[in-house]
Amino acid sequence: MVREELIFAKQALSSRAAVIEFIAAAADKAGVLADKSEFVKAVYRREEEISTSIGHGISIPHGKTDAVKEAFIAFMSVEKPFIWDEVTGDEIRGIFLIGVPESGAATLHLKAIAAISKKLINDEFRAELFACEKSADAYKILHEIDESIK
Amino acid sequence: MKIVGVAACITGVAHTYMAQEAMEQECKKRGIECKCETQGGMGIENELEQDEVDAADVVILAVAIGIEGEDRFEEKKDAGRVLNLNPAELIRDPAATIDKAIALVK
Repeated sequence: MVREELIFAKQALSSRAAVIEFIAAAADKAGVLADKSEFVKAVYRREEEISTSIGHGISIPHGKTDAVKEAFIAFMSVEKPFIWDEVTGDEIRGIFLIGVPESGAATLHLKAIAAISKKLINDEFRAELFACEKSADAYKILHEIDESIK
Repeated sequence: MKIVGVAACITGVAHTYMAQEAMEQECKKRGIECKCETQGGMGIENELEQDEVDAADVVILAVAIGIEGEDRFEEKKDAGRVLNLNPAELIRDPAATIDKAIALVK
């Protein structure tokens, strides 16, 4: 569920568009997308409904569309906080990009996404995740949650 | 003090569960008994029974969509004991949300 190739620590990106494009490309490469541009469109559609910045330095853009083959949750922390969108004006340090198929997402996947989402409410958890200098360390933290729900 | 709630967001993937966690954690911090139902991608979980609703001082509906079983809260609504808000608001500031909920009792 949490894939190592979709976890990125301390990236030098500084805009919503750059982050979404970067992760979508990685997700496409990982084989979890059926149609990358359709997925990106779905993510922006959701973003337009209401910003996915949740405060606490985190945003959780997501797309629920059949352009997603297999549900996934990707994570990126950035070197320098940046403003996610003008609506909220929130400074973002970490982004979770979530993809879920419109029809028939496996319950186990949804469970994993829910478990990680819940963890984001925890201050210490966020601090620990944001502190990771290496992608492998961030992966380890997220993978543990993934394992715990199986 | 007893609080019950329902969390439900548009896609039912992440906000629903974050809102549940935010509500329960903030209540725990304050020693408030709390149970939050979720209506999300995995269906209805942690479902509230009518007697649990009746026993609650306040109901928090952190919902962005129409929910199942809204009639359970009719009586609380009439008594002015229901706080309606978007799940995102609750996640952003759980403390302020619980303050508002408590204020309904006083």
